[in-house]
Amino acid sequence: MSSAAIALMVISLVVLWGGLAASIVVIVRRPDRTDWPDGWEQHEDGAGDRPDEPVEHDT
Amino acid sequence: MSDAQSRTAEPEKREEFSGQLGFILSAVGSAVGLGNIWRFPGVAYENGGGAFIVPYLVALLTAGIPILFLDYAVGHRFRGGAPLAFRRIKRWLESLGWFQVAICFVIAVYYAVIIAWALSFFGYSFDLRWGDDTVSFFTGEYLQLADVGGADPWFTLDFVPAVLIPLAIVWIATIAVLAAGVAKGLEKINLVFMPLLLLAFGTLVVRALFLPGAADGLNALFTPDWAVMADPNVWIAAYSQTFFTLSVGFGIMITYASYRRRRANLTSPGLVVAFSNSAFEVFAGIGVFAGLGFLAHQEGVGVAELDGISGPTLAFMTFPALVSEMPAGPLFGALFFGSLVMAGFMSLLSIVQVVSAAFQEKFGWSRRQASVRIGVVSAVLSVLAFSTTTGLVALDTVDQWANNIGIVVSAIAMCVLLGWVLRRTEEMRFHLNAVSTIPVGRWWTFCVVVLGPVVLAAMLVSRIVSLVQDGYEGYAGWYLVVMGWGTVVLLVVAAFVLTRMRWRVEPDVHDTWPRFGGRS
Repeated sequence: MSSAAIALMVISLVVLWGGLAASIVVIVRRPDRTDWPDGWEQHEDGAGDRPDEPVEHDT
Repeated sequence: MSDAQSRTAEPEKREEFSGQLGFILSAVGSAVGLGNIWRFPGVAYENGGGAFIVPYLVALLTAGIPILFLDYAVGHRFRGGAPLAFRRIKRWLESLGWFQVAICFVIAVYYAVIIAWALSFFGYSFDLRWGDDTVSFFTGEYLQLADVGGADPWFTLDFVPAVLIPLAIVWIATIAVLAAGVAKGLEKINLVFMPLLLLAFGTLVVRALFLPGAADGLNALFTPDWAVMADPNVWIAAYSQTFFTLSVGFGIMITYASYRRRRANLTSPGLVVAFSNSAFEVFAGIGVFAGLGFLAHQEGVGVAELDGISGPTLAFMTFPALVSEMPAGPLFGALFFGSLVMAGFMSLLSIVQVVSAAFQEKFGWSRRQASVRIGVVSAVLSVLAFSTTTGLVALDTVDQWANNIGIVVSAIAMCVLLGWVLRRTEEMRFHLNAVSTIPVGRWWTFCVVVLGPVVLAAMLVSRIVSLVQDGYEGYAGWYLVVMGWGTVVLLVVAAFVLTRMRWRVEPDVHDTWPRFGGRS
């Protein structure tokens, strides 16, 4: 293989597999938010997801 | 009886993926398909070799990932498959959702046939049944094409049992998995098949690297031709590759995201999905070109002189020839075609799930009813159109129009309608940032509102001009009008008819969370 071909192969692998590794590290370190916007409690257990199910608000 | 009173059918509670891993593996399983194995290497080779990585990465970051995030935001915020989610954004937008469902239906009908071919060849691998002349075996003995050269007659009902039987198996398996549900069917299959696919294909790639001539193949794939960077067609090829490979713009990722619980991270899993798909693609390219280098070495020719380096020709004509030359050929043939079956099947499940979800939501069908009804109708159409002696030509034509016209039009319409007409992309960005750990900035809005649709429009125009001026594969003009443009017309008609049909459940009572400005 030519040196240019080897270099491009290595760069491609490093960038794409490196990108994958980095994104896995990020999601493992912080899988989800801890500070959710207001009102999430009303939607636990899929409440409000069914097409025919109105959501009742207490405010 | 009023319209509201008549909508009495009780839908099942919305299904959910069991967690982050299940969602990521299912989304990767959907994105990693046949195109990763047989399309990317050929496209890279023909568009600058190693230099292609530059436009490819730019396209991934500026169109592939941004449109993937847009799909996630629509499905997750509006809690539905494509028609329901779009309707909740704006009532008349439902037709775009049905257009995407129609695309998925058409693709599923022929995509299953390719998996059936791969299943047959998986079996043939064990005794290398294709012999020395793999081209004649595939087109003649296996597909029994009515007229290999000129495709005349253009349509027959002469069924080919060697295709029909595996095709029936593929559809039965699809119905069974989808009937089991998102968590117990779809997710579990992906949890098993994704690691198996990596293991099987990984073994094949490592073996290919040690074959004589492998270095020549890799040299051909990665030697950069920097001059192509100035060629707009190379950039269009890069955008086109990243767009098609990520399964964006036609409802799959909208549907999958709708099965995530409300409090779920979207952007970080999205990056894992996008980079997994691209990493697998480059990995597959290395395996394929190492193998092609070996084949060229055995035949005493240069890699550039080989025919059939992409698409079904690569898989079903060139690769069998390569496997026949390899030490332990039957084992590696089985690994290759087994990988095709697994990659294709995971993608097929995601495509059919789009159709199933849409019918469940609009007509109040249970998931079992939807799986069986849609599966049976699709299977019958698959058999009638594509398991005959004229199936290959029909498949090739419908695939060209459904993908290059249908999907591209769908994605442009989504970006333009949400970004320019309804101006809802800031709401989508707000949603992504409210639930995700990696925020998206204004660059994202620019990519989905300006850059993405402009590049997609360039792709579309260039393809339409080519199809109108040059036709396709030398097929008869009337045939392309009926099977190609006719498919596009069918997609549009199906979208309007299905939109006009009455909802069996109330679709519009919906609480959007988190609240954006004064809008819920």
